Amino acid sequence: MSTSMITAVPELTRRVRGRRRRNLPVLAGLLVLALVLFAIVGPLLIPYGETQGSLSARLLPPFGSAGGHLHLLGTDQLGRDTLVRLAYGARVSLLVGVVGVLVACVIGTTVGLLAGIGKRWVDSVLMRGTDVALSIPGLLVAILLASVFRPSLVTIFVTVGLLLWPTYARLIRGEVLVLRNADFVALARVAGCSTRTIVWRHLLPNVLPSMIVLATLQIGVAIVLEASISFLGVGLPPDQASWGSMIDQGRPYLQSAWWLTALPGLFIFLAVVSFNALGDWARVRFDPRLDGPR
Amino acid sequence: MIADTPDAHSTDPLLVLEDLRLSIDTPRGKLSILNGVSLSLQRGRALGLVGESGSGKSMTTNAILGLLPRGAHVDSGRVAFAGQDMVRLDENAKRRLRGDRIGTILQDPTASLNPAIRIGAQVGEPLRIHRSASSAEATAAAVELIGRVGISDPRQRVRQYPHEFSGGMRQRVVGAAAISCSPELLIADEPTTALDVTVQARYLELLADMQRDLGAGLLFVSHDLGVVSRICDDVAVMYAGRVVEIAATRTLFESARHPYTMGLISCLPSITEVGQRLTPIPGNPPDPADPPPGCPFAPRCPAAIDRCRAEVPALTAVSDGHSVACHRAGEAFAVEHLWPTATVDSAVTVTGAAGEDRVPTLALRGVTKRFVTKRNLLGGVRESFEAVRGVDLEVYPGESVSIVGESGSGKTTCIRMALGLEQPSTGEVLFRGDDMARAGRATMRAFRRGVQAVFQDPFSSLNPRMSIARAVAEPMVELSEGMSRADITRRVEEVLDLVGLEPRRVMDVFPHQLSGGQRQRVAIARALSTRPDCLVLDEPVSALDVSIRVQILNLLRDVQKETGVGILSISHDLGAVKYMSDRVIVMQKGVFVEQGTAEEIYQRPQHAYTRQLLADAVGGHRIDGARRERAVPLTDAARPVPADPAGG
Amino acid sequence: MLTFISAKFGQAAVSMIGASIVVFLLARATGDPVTLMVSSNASAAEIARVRGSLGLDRSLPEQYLTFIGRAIRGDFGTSLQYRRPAMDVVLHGLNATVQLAAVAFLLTLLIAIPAGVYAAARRDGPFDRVVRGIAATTQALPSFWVASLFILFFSVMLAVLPTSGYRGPKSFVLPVATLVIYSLAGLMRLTRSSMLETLQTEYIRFARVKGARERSVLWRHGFRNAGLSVLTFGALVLLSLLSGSIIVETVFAWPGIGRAVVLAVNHRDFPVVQAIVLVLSGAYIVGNFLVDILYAVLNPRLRSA
Repeated sequence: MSTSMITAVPELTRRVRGRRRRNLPVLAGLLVLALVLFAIVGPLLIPYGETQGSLSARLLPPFGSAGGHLHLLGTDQLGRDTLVRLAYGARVSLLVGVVGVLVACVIGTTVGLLAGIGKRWVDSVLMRGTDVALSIPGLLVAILLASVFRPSLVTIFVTVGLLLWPTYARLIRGEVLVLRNADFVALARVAGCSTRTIVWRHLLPNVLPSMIVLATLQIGVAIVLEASISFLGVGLPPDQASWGSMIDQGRPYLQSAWWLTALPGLFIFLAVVSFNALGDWARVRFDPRLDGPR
Repeated sequence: MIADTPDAHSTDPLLVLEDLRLSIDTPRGKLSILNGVSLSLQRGRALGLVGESGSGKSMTTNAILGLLPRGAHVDSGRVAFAGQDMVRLDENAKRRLRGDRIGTILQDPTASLNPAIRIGAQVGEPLRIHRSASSAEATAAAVELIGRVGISDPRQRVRQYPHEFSGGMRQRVVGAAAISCSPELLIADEPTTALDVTVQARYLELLADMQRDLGAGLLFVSHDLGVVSRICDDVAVMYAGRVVEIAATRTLFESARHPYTMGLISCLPSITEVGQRLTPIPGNPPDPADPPPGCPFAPRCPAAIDRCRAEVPALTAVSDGHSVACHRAGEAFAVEHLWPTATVDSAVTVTGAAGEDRVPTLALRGVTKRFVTKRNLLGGVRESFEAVRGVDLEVYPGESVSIVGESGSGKTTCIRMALGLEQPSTGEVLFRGDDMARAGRATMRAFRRGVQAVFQDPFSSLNPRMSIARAVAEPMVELSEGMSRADITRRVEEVLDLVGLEPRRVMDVFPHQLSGGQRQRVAIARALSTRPDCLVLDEPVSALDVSIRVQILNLLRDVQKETGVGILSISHDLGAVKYMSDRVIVMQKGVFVEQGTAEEIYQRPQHAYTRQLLADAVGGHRIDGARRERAVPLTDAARPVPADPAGG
Repeated sequence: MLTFISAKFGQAAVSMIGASIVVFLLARATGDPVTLMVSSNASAAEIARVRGSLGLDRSLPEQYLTFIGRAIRGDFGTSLQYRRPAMDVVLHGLNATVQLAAVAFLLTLLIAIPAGVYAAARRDGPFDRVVRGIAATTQALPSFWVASLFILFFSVMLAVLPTSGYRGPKSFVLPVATLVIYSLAGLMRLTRSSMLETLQTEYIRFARVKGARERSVLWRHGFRNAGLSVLTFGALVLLSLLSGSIIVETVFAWPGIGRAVVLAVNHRDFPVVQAIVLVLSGAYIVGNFLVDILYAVLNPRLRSA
């Protein structure tokens, strides 16, 4: 008996187009990898410090040098090397992206699960909470929080997590509500499973693909969020490098040293595009419909 | 609104398909879906196109309509409608034919109608498109049309939305739209598959009437030979993208020549005969990506010879109007020779006279279930309805009981209560005499061990992320006392073997890698793992292909014989019920209207509803003779909108 | 239907109360405004006096109730920065922001909806790929970066448009463009995926089988249904434009509420902060409520429920 049956895929791509299609996520993956490497290894290899700047070397263009020191991407208004600050900024962005999303994922999934399997009133209360969380504009919350707690990397993780969890909650809740009525869940009850077992063995594993897809897509949002917060001056302290604050600090010098604003933004753009491409690939790859009949 | 009258003297066939070949591009390469479909339909006649899933019958319809999915293209062959080659026509020309000279009825009436547009507008739409009718003219025509298809109070109903109609009514509306421009060709693609038995019977009559009134040709596509035989003059049987046999209906049933056709006919349980064991067609239909050389049916054919495995047989005429694609068509086999039907002792173990001092494994006593449909602001009840009303049921050890009913009858709710998934509003559910409402933990566990279930849809019964081994082991993991892991694994292998699957091959595989029939076997294996006293089955074979159904039904009978397990099942398929039940209960609108042994119910039905059901039941079982006479319709032809949230 | 509306209204009311509590607490938590207002060597008695005059010496629940009581009447107190009623500041800012948001919203709708519909209609065709590319790109562009680059090009290099401020139609161009880029992706994507889903349905097939023209299939049958979720999302977009304007207003020095709230936070101007945040949350909650009602009105199935 043959065990490999076809899953009838109504989508089509001609062979050639198919090959090109597969390259996009690969490219995105490579970009992300490059970024990670840049973030980890960059500050070690580049011979400048994050906050070390000399006024004699200020506002140098890319490949400019002063006093015998070459600055590949120029320097900013305090003479700090742009390239190395971009690397430190990469650390911040990637960390915030990953950890912030992780926090959001944990909170959101828990809320979503509880709302999905709980009684009607539990669902109601949790959804009202989600509505409230969504109603208060994100950046505002970030600004307000920043003025309460002195901003550090940890507070930014928490802020981003607090801003992103409602999307998770809504998604997970939706999926759980559907899964709840699936035959295999009813059959699990008939097989003697407790609610707890059903959640861990049957619900969570089937919700996992959506979680992963959403997480990948949220990383880009988190990165932009962190950059926005820093841009507004309520993120990390200004001497610490963050792509957002670099753009803000470069603004007065738009005419003379436009690269100070352009480069960090370009990095943000590339990072977000790559993560989004990965997320789109993941969405197609983990599409539950493909687990269906032949 | 009169269509261009076709040449009344023309004896040319209305629709001709000549060796149509069609393939689809997929990421896995090119798949051949149609491998040479040939048929012809004359004006005024009805041709049934029968095939199981994967036979290509739906794609044939798409090709005729010119509505191919993306990536599908016709490789060769002709589709000639009234002389015009549909394949070579440009899109706009094809579009003009659709809805005008070709009317189509699709399968699912709930999905076919746009939920946001009123019925009248949807029925009148073809007239507005093809006859430049104004909105008022179209509406007036729509009123007349829906009245013609049997909807009462058309002037009022024409302004309503689809959700205000029941399933059968919706399909009538779909029919009204299909005939609105008086087409010459009517295509019905599985029009009654989603309908209840009695509704289906009425609809077939309507369809026959519509065809007759229009003088149109009808192409009726279905997986159900029984349904097709009711209104079609000729039948074409498809297998693996080809027409393998085509003949007049009576000829087909009396003297089919192709082994597949014969197999199909013989694996339809009859509702008149008793004590038979049908021989199913073994194996599965071929994988389009990996077709076998030669005749596609050869791997499963009991009459296959070497030539069959090397050379594809062509469709050749054996007599007037009867063509077969088989190398051995000339040798007229007797059906019995290829697909023997054994006579067995009917009934496995019957209790005979009820109960006496034996305790029933499962019992429902005076059970009622009420569902709330509307609540007021404070959560109080505003509207509710009773899905199950005062029902008494007993299942004794070793016996097989079936509840037969249509959608909305409450049978699903009944078994959900029997399984403890719902609590009765009044009455008791008893397991071995114990009231389950008062069951303590130990009793609950014993109950679950003793009563297991198999549900209808093999594709949602298994957790897609669990391997087969884990799925089958789960009841034991949760419920057994003192079984070691090795014990469990051994039992998993034992029970997979029992259902006809090779444990080694299947244990580490995931559900999406198995076919529907295989998944259903896994579900049965899982249900048997704790050695239950009773198996509760919810339409266990309705979602499966016809040729697979008998495989599973036989399996259930064998399992019952071997293990002595009792069975409580629900179904709407009278043939299947007859095949495997000792006792039958007929249920209508929440009440048991009649109970008795299988023989009593089928041979001597007492209640009017039972008799109506039996008279209407055509789907899925052997037709003894020519086209049926029209049956007497039920009095309440216009059914109310079903409101049962449990789906009956 | 009435039950539905009342239920939704109840939910909205609960959400509003929740939001007001959160706002109240957050505003309080940002710090003590008194220290900003008095000179650095003020005596304790002086500080206590100022605090008392602002009503900040009472207990939190008391302050909250006073706050709510007044807020319902539109009285949010006096702005600590400008010595004007906080509501005035809010309304003044709203005026500028709403103008910006409205123009941006309309433009977004005009571009995104047809783009999404036709991209779905010719799936995987060249137009679809362009649309998807645009969506992917614009989603990844941080709005402050885009704004800065716009200023660089059009104001500094080409000098055709003003760098900032709220002065005449020309000053609208860059901020609106930035906002449109910001909100385009989401709506385009949603329209596209909504349409794709709708186009797979049986009733679309049925429409085709009746011989309907492609345009009719797309809009009369398809968008009629897909439009419902697009509508819901569109409302969200509008609301997000109101609050997402913070960045754009900062960069372009647009005198809207986004900018006002940032200034207010920096100056610890409670009343204004509370007012603005509450107004924005309220808009979101009320907006959602209205959309729910509209959705029910337009969806025939819910109408007769």
